[in-house]
Amino acid sequence: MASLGRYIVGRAVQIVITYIIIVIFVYLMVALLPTNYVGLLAFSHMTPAQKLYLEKQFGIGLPFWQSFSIYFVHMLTFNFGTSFYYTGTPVLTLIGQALPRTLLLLGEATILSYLLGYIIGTYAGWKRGGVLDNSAIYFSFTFYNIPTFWLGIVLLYILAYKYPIFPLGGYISSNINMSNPFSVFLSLQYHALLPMIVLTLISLAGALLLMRTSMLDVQGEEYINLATAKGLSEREVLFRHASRNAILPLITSFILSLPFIVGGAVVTEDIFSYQGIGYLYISSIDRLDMPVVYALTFIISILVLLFNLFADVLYGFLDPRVRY
Amino acid sequence: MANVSYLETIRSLRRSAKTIWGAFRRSPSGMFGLIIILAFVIMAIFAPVLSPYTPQQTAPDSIQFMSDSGHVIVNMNNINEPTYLVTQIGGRGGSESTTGIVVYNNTGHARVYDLGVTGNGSKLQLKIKDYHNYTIPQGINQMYSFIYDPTTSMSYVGLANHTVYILSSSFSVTKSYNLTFPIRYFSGIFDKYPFSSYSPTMGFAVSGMNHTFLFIEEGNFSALTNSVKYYSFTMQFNTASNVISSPLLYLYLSSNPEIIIPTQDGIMDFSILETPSIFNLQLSAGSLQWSSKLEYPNGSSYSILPTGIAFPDNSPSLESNLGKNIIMVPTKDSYILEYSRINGSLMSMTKATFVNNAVLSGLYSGQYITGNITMPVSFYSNGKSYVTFWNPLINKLSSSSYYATIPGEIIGSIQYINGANEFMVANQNLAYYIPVTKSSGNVTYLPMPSKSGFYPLYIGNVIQGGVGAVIAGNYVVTVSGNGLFYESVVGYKISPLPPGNYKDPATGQVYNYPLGTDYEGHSIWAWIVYGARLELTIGIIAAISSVLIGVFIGILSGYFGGVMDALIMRLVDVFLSLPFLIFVILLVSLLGPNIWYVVVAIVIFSWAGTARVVRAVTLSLKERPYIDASRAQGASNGRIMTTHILPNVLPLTFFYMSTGVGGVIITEATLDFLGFGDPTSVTWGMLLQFLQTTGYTLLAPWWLVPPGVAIILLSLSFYLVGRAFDEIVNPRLRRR
Repeated sequence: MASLGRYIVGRAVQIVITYIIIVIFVYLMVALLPTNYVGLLAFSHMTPAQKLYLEKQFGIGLPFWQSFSIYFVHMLTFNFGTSFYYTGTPVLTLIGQALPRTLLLLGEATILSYLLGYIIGTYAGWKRGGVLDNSAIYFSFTFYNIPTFWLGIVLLYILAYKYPIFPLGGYISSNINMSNPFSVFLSLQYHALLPMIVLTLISLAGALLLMRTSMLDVQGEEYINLATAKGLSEREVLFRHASRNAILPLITSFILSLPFIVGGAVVTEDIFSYQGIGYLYISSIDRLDMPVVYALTFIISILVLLFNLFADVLYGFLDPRVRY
Repeated sequence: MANVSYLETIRSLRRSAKTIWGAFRRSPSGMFGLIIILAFVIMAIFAPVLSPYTPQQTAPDSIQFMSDSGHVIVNMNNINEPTYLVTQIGGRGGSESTTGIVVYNNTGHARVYDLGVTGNGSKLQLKIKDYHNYTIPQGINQMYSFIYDPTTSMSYVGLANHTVYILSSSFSVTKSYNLTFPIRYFSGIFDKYPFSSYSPTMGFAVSGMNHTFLFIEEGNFSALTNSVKYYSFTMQFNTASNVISSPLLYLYLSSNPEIIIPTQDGIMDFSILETPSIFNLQLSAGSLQWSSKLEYPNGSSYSILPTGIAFPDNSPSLESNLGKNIIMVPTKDSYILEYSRINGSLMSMTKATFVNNAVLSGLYSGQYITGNITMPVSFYSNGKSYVTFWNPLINKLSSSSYYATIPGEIIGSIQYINGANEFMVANQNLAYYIPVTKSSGNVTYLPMPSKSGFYPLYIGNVIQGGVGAVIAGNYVVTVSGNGLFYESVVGYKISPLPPGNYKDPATGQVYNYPLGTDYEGHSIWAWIVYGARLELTIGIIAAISSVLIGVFIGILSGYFGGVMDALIMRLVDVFLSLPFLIFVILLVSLLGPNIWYVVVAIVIFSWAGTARVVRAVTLSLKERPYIDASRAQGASNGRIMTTHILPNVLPLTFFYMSTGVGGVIITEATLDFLGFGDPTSVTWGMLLQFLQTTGYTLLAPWWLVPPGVAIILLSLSFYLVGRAFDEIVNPRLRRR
């Protein structure tokens, strides 16, 4: 049996290699495309000063070896320069502002959806064929296939426009006393609520189905019969024995979904004008703010990889069979 | 070597297909999904039958635009005389008290309806606030208003049979002139902006029999008193023969004033003498400058059309070269002649031809519009009139393919609507707007390329003098019977239209929009039905491509193992760890907005998932004994992969193919919505994006809901079908 330490090191090395491959990959994507397209889309709208900046910072436009080395070094050292749109602001500052908001939103959404999925899925699987089970299935199937942006708009229409319970957008209210951390927190939560509902509903569908299926698998096991025969109450059997064993795939899925916290809410953030990472990405592409776009692509990728590493380590910790 | 014949393979395939179908039929969700998919396929194929409109067709403007309109009953002392109409534009200095609609009859009654114009830009509203009755001289048949009268003593000119009245703003008579001839023609008020010293400020002429009466007022700025003093003059011109249509006035600063009178013997040009005196400029009738016979160069005579002669440009601005140096004369033989105003010589003669051998029926004074002189010209043939524009600078129709068709004959003259770049024309029943420019084709009603939008007028019967008043450049008023109809020229757009049936008030045709329209007037139902084509196409192509690529790579990697396997798995890991949407957006924004680039981008970032699963399956299959057996029999690697591994892998991938379609549809819609889609593609995502960019997201639920529901249904059905199929083929999920 391999040790945990060796496993971690192994995975970390893989992460680094993967990251390097991603850097090369994005570079090729940008560099190998026909220049008239690149010229057409992004670079024809730029001022000469901006083009020069891109050359210096990312090596765009220079001959291959020069270009790639500048690019490679800067990417690896996180030297992303300053934004075009917010002139003078270092890109890393912008990302630093946006990232916690996204983490707040998606972190809460993921945790909430898996928690709800656990609870509802347990009951749905236990009382298989019942009302809860059937409605849970219909719900899951439907919400699994809803476009996130459409759900967001419809909820906006109903809950923020027709019956204005929630705010229409933004990540914080403008009339908040910034020095009071409690009211700041409250306002942040208030604005994150509706996007969180959207995200939760969508991932709940997947989590619910998974938990339910897993419960069905577990129900056939013998120790469930033993527990019932022992005279334990239904609730005890359900939660103390059945679901505890059924939860493993759910935990796997939860861990696997963590990496997507970072880039997963692009659309939702766009609709709600929630200034997180996804919103920054979309608006930067629209504004042709290339330094931010390049930087975000890598930051998001590396965060995804880091979360992957974290997920793998956690999983390796939980399930020793995985370590090689 | 045991060889399985193709016949056997096909038979066994048919058998398994039958069992699979039998099991599938028993799955309610699977059948539901399949039915929905078939419904969409039918929708896509029979789209032209299901929707009478294509996604590109828009509702006509008369439905999309609404204007402010109203109807007031005019009851003037119970007198059953036809009521007439006068214009009153904006008043002096725009003050509200002098803005109103004047209604009068020839038994001495006038009424002014006070107007308030509220709102702005695209939503002007006319409010009739009040009315006042006035007494006017009896027998007035026509009334015209002055625009730029600096005093209140001259607001209207009223014409009775033999008398000219100058009326104040309260309709009291300030001047009157008795004439020896019946008034037949009126020249239209020449109304130039005041404060131009030593020049006529305004004037008009009336003609009848062989006499023409001219009234001119001029303003004289006195430095002494630092004010303008106004003087009025009258003079009469007697011609040898009868006047046959309205005279033209040339009263400009740059040269001597003239009046041009068309008579039976010819077109005559008289000068107006300006004699300076101590205190002001004296005006009196001058002598005949030139006269030009109504004859073609070959000597044959011609008749002028009843619409009369005209300057190319009617506005007070263009004095000479472009607008006033030429006199345009239309003849009953469909010729348009150009005479020089300066010496009366015939400058050119052009035959005005039109389609269907229509004859020239009128030439109307024009306007200088964006670099061109535009004169409305009408042709008549077979019960229809055709209105288009003549450019006197090139002596040709401005455009040979652009014209409006008006049923019947044109009544009155064609008026220019200031600020709207349109002319207005009426027949017995309707008034029409004719925009000056257009895109293509022969249409009766045209949208103007502007935001506020215009649409054809429909205000009831138009009588007596053709189209009515234009008020403040924005409203049209006509009178019929006892009714005063008013309607705004500037309409506002009421699209997107909620679901329902809409009747075009102008043509009477009913347009049916079961799901309503979007902002441009496209039928939402048409978009749903035609959009199904592209959705199904790209969904299926993208999903199948990505799965096939994944299968190919997965089998290769799993079967051969070793270094290639390690490398490929590394690549798969890279692709799997890339955040999907981020990179698809990046790739699409780099490639360009084309629907197939979207498909390519989605496929590039989707194959990795299938590859990993297929590799795992291949690994386990590889160890099965029958693989060894085939290898022992000498089967090549390729053969083993295609005949043994592939058939066992494929059924497991059907799930991914089917659910993949739903994923592609949703991803494409998301890309469209974010702005990275193909704007020319007819997909449901583009419809939603259009909803968002026009800002009607929260305002048009009939536009918001159907595309979303369509996406959900189609994606859900593919998911259910895939899931049902998977339950059959994959032993994991069966009900226990």
